[in-house]
Amino acid sequence: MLNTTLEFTHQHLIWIQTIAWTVIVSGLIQNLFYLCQLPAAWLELNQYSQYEDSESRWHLLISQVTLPISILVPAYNEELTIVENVHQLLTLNYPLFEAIIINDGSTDETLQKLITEFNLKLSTRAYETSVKHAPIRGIYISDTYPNLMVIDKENVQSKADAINAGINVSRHPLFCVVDADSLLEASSLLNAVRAYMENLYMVAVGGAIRALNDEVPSSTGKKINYRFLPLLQSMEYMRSFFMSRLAWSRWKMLTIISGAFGIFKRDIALKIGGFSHHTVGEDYDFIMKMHDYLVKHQQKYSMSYVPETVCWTEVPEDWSMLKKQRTRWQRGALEVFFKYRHIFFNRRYKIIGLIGLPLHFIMDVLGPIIECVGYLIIPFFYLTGALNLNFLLAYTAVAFVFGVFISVSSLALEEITFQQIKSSKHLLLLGLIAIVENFGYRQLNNFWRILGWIQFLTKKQGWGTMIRKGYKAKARNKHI
Amino acid sequence: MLVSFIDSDQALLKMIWRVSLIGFVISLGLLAALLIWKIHRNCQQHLIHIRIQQLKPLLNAVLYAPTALNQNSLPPLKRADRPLIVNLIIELLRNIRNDDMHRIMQIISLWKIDNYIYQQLKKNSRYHQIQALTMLGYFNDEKSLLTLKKYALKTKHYVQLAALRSLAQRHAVEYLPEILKILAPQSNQNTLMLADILERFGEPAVEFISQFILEQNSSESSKVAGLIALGHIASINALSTIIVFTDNLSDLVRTQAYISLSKMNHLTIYPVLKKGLNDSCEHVRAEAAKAIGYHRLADCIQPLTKLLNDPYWRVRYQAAFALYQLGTSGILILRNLILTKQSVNSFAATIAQQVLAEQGQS
Repeated sequence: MLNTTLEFTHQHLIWIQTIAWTVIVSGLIQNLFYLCQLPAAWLELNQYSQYEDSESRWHLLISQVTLPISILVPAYNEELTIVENVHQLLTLNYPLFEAIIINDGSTDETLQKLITEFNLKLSTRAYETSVKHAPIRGIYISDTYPNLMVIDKENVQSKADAINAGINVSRHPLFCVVDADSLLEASSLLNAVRAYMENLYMVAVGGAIRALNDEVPSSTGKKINYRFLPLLQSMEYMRSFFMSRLAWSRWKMLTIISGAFGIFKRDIALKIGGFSHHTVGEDYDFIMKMHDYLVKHQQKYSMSYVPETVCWTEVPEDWSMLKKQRTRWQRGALEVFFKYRHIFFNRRYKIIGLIGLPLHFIMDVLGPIIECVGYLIIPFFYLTGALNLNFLLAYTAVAFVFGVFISVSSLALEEITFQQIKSSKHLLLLGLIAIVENFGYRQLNNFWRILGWIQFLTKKQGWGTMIRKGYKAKARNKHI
Repeated sequence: MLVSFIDSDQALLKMIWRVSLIGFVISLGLLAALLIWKIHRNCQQHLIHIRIQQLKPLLNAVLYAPTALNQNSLPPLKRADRPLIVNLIIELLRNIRNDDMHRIMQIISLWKIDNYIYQQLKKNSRYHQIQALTMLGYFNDEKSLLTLKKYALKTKHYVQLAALRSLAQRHAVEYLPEILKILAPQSNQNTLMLADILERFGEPAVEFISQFILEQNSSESSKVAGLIALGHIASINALSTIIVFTDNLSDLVRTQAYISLSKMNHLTIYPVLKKGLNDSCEHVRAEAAKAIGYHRLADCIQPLTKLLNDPYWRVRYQAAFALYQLGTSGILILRNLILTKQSVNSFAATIAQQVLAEQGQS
């Protein structure tokens, strides 16, 4: 067997080295691309950062020109936390907004708890039906909380359906989708709306998502417990939101705004038919739908990412949950790429079609496949002698080591600009995670992406279950 | 050649892993530097926090002390305290009354914070400049006014806006034409914030804002900002200017013109609002219908009824609500539509039903 293998490798040396070079060059290109994203992110932050302008936030708060926002919160079986979540929502620092909770056919006491707590009564509010969704059973308003509304609708097992109901019922020019268990920072809306005030053609604005549960107070409240898996994700989100998304925004090639928090123009959402039902990547799909519609109708538009707008969300704490989430994300991305394949290299879509979407495809879809091939073949062929040490070292460098520089630089970018990390200990842990994540975690994610491919090709449906532990009440240490 | 190719191959591979290794080492250095910086910063923040807790009651005591303020009565201020005091004063100034403001200005002068503010302006930092310009809005001397004008003419947008805001606070309308001439062609600006600031100049600025948006090179954002400001000021003198923009080619500008018109109450706007009901842009039609309902223009019943079959829900809703606001005659039309519901009028009947139900009239 060993002799056969050695003979095989000797006979196909050129091919093996070609494959090895492909893997290495692919990894190199990816890393160089990330390297290019760093200065772009830095420039974007420098130019548009609102961190230095606290005066504007104050004046927006007291001004009558600040655009009103409808906050849409889909909720399904959230009886444990819904009341607290809504109370927190109603304390947001924003002059004019309405909070619309969409009770998506909950089978528990979600609706009843809301009715009792907020003195809700049935209303005959007029609403449009431009966007399709399951029937609404009732709309509730409160005299005590005039900016709160609850929609009770039938469940069709689709978050998109719930959001669409919210879009139809809302009346403000902007709407924001927030998960029921996410925590918006008090000034998030003020930070995000500024993008709309600066550009009258803005249609979508994304914000940063951060992990709520990477540091959690102990039961006595005296100690902070740090959790490994959420810390890994925290670092990953930081790299994604403080480097990657900023760079895409700078290059005017934003193709995704996270479903956990985004602010969109309502009339455009109506025109494109709202969120799509039959996809697990409904946030990705929504943005691409916007691009598609606005380009086809030759309308001037802009999308942006504002890093100061922060939404804290609970991330998976166990590996099986994380795996489900990441395979779902990949499945969603592939559904979107397949659905909007007409945009690829289409000059009509300008920079999005010619560069943006193809680059996303290469980085997020093809790149992981090539990397995974590399994990298997390069060490193997090194052991068989087909590849020398330089190959192995170069491969290790692009697949594992180089990423450390990117991760640490993203951490530095965030810390120098926003200083959101409160303690040195947390920063040290994240710094160590920035090193450690490149030796195993990133590679595992690539394998999950392959699983996502398989699920996409075998047409698997559904979200799976995400078990939440309700960390919002314990999130005082986040100083939100 | 093959040997040299293989050699260059290997050289490239070596370069890749060596550069990556250097990158790795730099990362470790960067991380160490970040940590040291963080620890230092946290210590500094802690000390600043303690100092702020000491300065707050001191400032309040000085502000509300019954004695007259002079150099001898004020405790000395350390250099390091100045930025903290400036922050505290800005917070105070947002909620303060006139008498207290006068006293704050005295404190600023006696503690020589005014010199410090001018020094801040010279820094390249946007944060320091905006803070300093905000403070100058509360001064009342010529030097600060000229400084504000100087910065309002610069093209660093939020610094410019901060200066303009302070000028508005000082009611310095005389500088507006020169500043607006610089702003007019700018398309990269915070339109709504500019509108808010222009509005603060009030009625005396109407003429200048009108000129600003009528300029040939005035950008779309400038036009919208000016129209918003004129609408909020709601001066009759701005009417003719706003009416001009109801024919503008840009949907955004036309829509804003109608929104601004709706805030005015004058005979000349009524035919313009009626004209808006036939506009090609749905937002204009909706705003025109809304304004007609607000002003109770009874002779618009016919065109409003026609709009009940508009393809856009918001237009239908505003038209139906406007009919409701017109009173008995409007409500009667809505009721009749529900009673005589036919497929050709289904849009109209549905919206009529919705609006009447919403108003408790079902």
